[in-house]
Amino acid sequence: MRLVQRDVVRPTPVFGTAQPARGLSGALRTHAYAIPEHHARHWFFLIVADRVDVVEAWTRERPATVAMLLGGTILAAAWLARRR
Amino acid sequence: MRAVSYRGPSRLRVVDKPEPRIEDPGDAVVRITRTAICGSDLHLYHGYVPDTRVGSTFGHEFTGVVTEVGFAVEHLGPGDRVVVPFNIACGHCFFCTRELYAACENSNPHSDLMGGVYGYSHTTGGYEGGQAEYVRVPFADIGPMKIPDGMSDEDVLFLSDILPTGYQAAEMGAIERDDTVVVFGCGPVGLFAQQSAWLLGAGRVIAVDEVEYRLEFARRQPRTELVNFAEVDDVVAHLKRLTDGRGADVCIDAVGLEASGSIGHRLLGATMLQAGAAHVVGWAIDAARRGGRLSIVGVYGPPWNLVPIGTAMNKGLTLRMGQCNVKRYMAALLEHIRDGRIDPKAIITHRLPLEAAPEAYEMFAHKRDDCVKCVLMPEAA
Repeated sequence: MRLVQRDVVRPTPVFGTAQPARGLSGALRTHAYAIPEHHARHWFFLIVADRVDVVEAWTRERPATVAMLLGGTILAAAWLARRR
Repeated sequence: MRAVSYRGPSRLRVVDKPEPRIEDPGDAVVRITRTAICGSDLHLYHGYVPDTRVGSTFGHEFTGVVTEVGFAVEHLGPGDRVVVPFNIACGHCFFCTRELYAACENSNPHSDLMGGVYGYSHTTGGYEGGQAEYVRVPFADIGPMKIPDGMSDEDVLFLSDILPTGYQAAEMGAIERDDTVVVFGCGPVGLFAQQSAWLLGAGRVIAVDEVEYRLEFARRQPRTELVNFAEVDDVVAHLKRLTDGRGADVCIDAVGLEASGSIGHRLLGATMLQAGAAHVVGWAIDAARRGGRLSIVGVYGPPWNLVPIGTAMNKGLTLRMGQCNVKRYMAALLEHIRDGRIDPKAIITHRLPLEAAPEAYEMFAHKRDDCVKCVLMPEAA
């Protein structure tokens, strides 16, 4: 909700070039931006997005580890399913 | 270029990033020569500031040399040495024309909270900060101040934030001659608030902290009285005893949301039930006399905090607070530095290469090695 008309267009890369919002954290941020700042929900979604962003960055930087964890989880699930 | 990169709460790395470029005709690109870690950077570092994205570069206290300017920049050119205020301000909006540069409505048009700040989350505009080898400086004709010949970068580095912030804290207290001023916090901003209170005519200045080596820094102003709140049963009662039972004329909160001294507040902050710990505001309200003034420059964040507003109302306190409007104070404070009344660089305890930023943050955050102020130096400097 904008209350004031600004006369300079986009002097900041807020939604843009520096750290573009992406992934699940980006979707959460986009959702937060649609809620006015005077509602606590706005800040809640941003804080959650920040934490999701950390996890996303961690997984992006460690694709082999993530693949191993995923593979291990699938194998473990399959082994458990077979035991039943 | 090399730049500090945020990886998550309490995790930083120095990485290669693309060098900034001119994105707007009013921009300049500055090669950083000195860049400091601010106490408020720790709020980002610990994950308290909403919309702090992984990959962000912090840093809003820096000096440097202009390497490139946009075609609309008239007052700066390549080779100029500059100190840059942490506020990013357009210079001509409703707020800037009233010298409220921290509230500029053009540098952070996506938020109603405040104007733009270098390296301080997307809540303040998503600008890259100065803990890097280079930084883009928007509205380059407005913010940066050329460093006078004969002055070093470190002489003026703290004109970018903490010195004007400390001064504004004292000014917002509307100090009258012989007033008693209590300053909570002996970090860099608190130390400058104490010096500024003396400059503005205070009769007594009482510095409150629990970290002994920081209280020793405050002792350098010989008349400043010191209170270690960890050594008294009840800091508010103690301050009242020191002020004839009435309370101080002016209380200044130079601490902000990561204060120690209240387990309850810390717990509520850590669990995100409030935005950090706000008990220093409560102490300040309780320690002020009826009809006194309270000045808050310690940084707090959205959405809310537990503050005894009823006590403030019933005591008839005047509350003033805000991010510093740095540009408003730079010229006057430069004269204080030039004339030797303030020596800002005296608070620097550590000078480290930019590559050591992660260790520097950890040291500063845990107050190790008697760290008061840490300045980083990029290799290119």
